[in-house]
Parts: sequence; structure tokens; C-alpha cells
Amino acid sequence: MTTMTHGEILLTIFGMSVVSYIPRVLPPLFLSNRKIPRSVENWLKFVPTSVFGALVFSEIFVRPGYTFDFSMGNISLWASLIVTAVACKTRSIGASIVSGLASFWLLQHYL
Amino acid sequence: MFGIQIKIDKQVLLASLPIMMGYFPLGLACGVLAGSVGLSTLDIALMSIFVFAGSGQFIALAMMGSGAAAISSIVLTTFIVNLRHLLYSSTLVKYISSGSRGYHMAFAQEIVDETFAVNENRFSDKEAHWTMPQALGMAYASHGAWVISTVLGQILGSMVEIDINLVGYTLTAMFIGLWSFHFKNHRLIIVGLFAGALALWLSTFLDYKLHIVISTVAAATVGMLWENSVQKDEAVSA
Repeated sequence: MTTMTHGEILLTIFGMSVVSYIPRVLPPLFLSNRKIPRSVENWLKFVPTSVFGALVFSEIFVRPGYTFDFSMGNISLWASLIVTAVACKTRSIGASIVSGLASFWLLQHYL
Repeated sequence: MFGIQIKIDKQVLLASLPIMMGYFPLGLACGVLAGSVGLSTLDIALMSIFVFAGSGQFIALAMMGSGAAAISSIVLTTFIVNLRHLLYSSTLVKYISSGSRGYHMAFAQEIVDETFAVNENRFSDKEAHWTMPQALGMAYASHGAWVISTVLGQILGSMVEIDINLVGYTLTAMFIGLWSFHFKNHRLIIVGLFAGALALWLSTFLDYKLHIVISTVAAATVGMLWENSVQKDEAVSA
């Protein structure tokens, strides 16, 4: 339970809303009428794959308290290999989630 | 100038359904956490509407619950965690440049990991004929599912029993699915793997997802240099 008053909770939510909106809204406000140079365009091309690579690796290997799990018993790792195969084959988020939950659940119970 | 068009059709529903499916368990878990921290139903609704950031909300709620964090440090953490949206927004700008100021401001609020990946994928696929009203409709459908599931989690509270490991893995599986959209050539795959390895190393000394932002910036720079040199070679041989 938080020690914050209700006013403080609302103030926190308001502050979070403002700082979440700023990075989202700056590019369309300032970049939309400009011609983007080719190097910047090439840079942006690699943003999505880099973000998801970084997110996925962190989710699989980093544990709370900033420790790593590189063991053979890392269920996320095995499930993720299955999900990657399914994702490459189907290119579907739905199939990725279903195969991921199924294999994670099975590994959790039988490994 | 402020015209905002939203379209929800079959294509839009097909694109948003998997996101909604992933958001449901995550949102439920987020709502339960919000309730246990002491947020009211209206509080979590406001947070999910105006902040709209999965991991950002989880981290902020955990900090609020611990009781030790000042408001300023929670807000600063949220800012850092959500800084990657700046990269997403910059990437999407070229597809929405013909939109009105109002459209830009509405669309910006809807940019998160999942809506970004799906919209970028559809917009870049010439055959998909993805339009700006569809992009906003897809984002609103996903955002709506997030708001509803977090509110539901807050209301149901301790009635829901959550296997936190399994719910956490939903996010990982969703990210892998979104990542696979970008496996279009070997450069994109190798740079993504490089970003992953770099993020692990950076996480040993960087906190609050800053390692995600910095590894992305570094890996995308490597990708850009590689792409530039390939294009130069092609220009020479052509």
C-alpha cells in the first residue's frame, strides 16, 4: 500500500502523462514538413529491429535485481526459441503469443 | 487543420486483435497491482488513458507501492523508460506527414511498442494500402483494450490469481512476434541480435530501461553505416 495521499497519486499520474507525451509528440510537430536525409532514414530503418532485439534479450536473460540467467533451466530461453520459429514461419503476433504461452506453461510443469 | 479521421474495418480489427489478446493478461495484472498499491478505479483509468505505457506503468506502480520514491523520481523514471517512443515517433513521421496538426497530436499519444510495430509494418508494406485513419483506429482499439483490462484488474483485485511468470512471458512472446516483422534481410537480423547482446552488457550498469535506449541508438548507428556502405557499393556497380 502506498503512503501517498490521493492528491499525490493524481499529481504523479499527471506528471507521468506529461513526460510520456513529450517524446511522442515532438517528432510529428517538428519533423513532418522536412525532408529527412538519407543517412537518417537508414538509421531509422534499424530502430525497430534494434529496440525489439534489446527488449527480447533483456526479457529472456535479465532477472529482477539485474542478475542474469544463462542456465539451461531458463524456461524463457527455450520457449523463445520455439516462438521465434513460429514467428518466422507465420509472421503473426497471435500465433507467437499462443505458442509462447503454451510452451512456457508446458516447460514450467514438465521441466 | 484539426481534422482527425478514424477508421475501424476488418483489416484494422485483424491487426489489433493479437495486440488486444496480449494486453488482456498484462492489463489485468497491471490493474491488480494498481489496486494493491492503493489506486482507485478512476485513478488507473486515468493512468491507462493518459500515460499508456505497459512497462512504464508497472515500474511506476511498483515505485509508488514501495513508499520510498519521491514523485519527481517516479516521473523522471517514467520519462526515461518511455524515451524510446521518441525513436518510434520519428520513424512513423514520414507516413503521417500529410495529416493535420490535430491528427499528429492524437496519433502521437497512441505510440507504444505494439502499435508502433504493427503500424510501421503495415505502412511500409505497399500492398497493404494502410491509411492514416486505419492506423489511428488500430491504435485506439488496442489502447481501449489496455484501458478496459487494467480497470477490470483493479476492480477484480485479489479475486484474480495471476501466475506472474506466465503473464510476464506474454510480453516476451509478443515482442518476438513484433521483432519477426523486421527480419527482412540479414543486416536487419544481425543488427537486432547485436542490439540484444549490447543491451545485456549495458544492463549491468544502466538502470530503468536506459540500456534499451542506448543499445538501440548504438546498434541503429552500426546498421546505418552498414546500409550506407551497401548503397554506395550498389551505386558504384550500377
